[in-house]
Amino acid sequence: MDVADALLTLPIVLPPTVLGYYLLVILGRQSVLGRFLEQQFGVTIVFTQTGAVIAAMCVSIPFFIQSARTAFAGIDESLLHAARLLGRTEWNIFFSVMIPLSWRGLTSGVMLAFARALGDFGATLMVAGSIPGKTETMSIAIYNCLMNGDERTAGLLVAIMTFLSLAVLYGIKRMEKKMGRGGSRHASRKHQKNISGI
Amino acid sequence: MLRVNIKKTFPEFELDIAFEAGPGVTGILGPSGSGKSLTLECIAGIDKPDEGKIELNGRILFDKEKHMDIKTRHRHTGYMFQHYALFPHLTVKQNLAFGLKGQPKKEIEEKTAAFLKKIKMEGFENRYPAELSGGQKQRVALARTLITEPSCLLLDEPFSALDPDTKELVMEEFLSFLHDHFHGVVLLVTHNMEEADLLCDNVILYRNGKVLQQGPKKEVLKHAVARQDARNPAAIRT
Repeated sequence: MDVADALLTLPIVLPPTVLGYYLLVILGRQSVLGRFLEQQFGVTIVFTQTGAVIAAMCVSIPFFIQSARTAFAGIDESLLHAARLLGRTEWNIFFSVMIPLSWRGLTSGVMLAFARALGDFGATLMVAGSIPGKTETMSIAIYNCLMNGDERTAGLLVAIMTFLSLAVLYGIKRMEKKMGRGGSRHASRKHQKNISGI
Repeated sequence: MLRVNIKKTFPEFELDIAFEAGPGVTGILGPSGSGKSLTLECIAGIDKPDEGKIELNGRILFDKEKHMDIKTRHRHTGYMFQHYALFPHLTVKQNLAFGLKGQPKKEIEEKTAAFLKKIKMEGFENRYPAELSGGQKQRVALARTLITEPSCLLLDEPFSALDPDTKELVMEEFLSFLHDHFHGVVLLVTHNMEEADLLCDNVILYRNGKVLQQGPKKEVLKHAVARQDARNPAAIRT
């Protein structure tokens, strides 16, 4: 468990280029996995959009896992016991109790992960390169535009990214505030409406 | 009939108890930390004893020697938590129906409606737990377990979360409700002697994870009072 835990958390602290390097080693055309995928399914990962997606996922998912874990840990354990005592299976409890009670935490985790994936530079560049119109992500495009002296496009992209990041930040803050207000009662959105409607 | 004979060892505490409880309310009385709640948890399957056997109405729930350990969800024990553990994201009606999953919709409707009436909470079916008073939450919690027709009822400090002013009234109502709607074994954990006196038929006295005494409440409580007074005369309770 500790080993799995460390592996899942490592991408948060690891420099993205280092993570990208590992992904290249694991998924590259010379690697066991890369060769298997190419021969069996005709799939290549390096320097493709698939590769870009995998790289972005690897740098961002740990953020989601962290938020999800915190959200689940905040659930009152007696609720889970109560559900078991009332005859529900573990799977059922996961969907009918755990997810509804922690959806705010899960949602803010998704947003955090999305923002991190959107902004990734190093890992994506290592795994997917920056093929214009194919694997050039916005973050990489900003760098390339500046290098080529196209400051107008760079500025536009910077504006879009800033706006998106602010939107995500605002969204997370809102979620957290609602979590705080819901506090011990974990009030659902429907419930909030009920309270204010009284 | 509930037969419990279990052992569970912790670094600084050992639970080692044996008792039998028949129909009616049996109180487990003792100071906090004496293993009362742990006993209930072992019977319900929330916790697991190291050794021993638990048998309810002839059905073995746990037997270390035979490697039997029925899963919590298959034990059909009714359990009421100290703070009720109502699902905060579900309405009163959804809470009541939680243990009826898999039954025909019409039956669920009928049963929840009947129980809402029994606990005098018609009109509250679409409220959320956060909008209820302590006494109402307690009634919903009790109804939520009784609606599943459990084979025994385990109550963990059922009145400790209520404020003292309303407690007495609630206790009387609770008792008459219980007499009307449940006829099996009821185990009630409490550290309050008056509560035990008011609610129980039999009492099991706990201390430090051991059973000190068990029997009809009059006898046990008489001795318990004498013992407590002898140990600490200044602390004669009101």
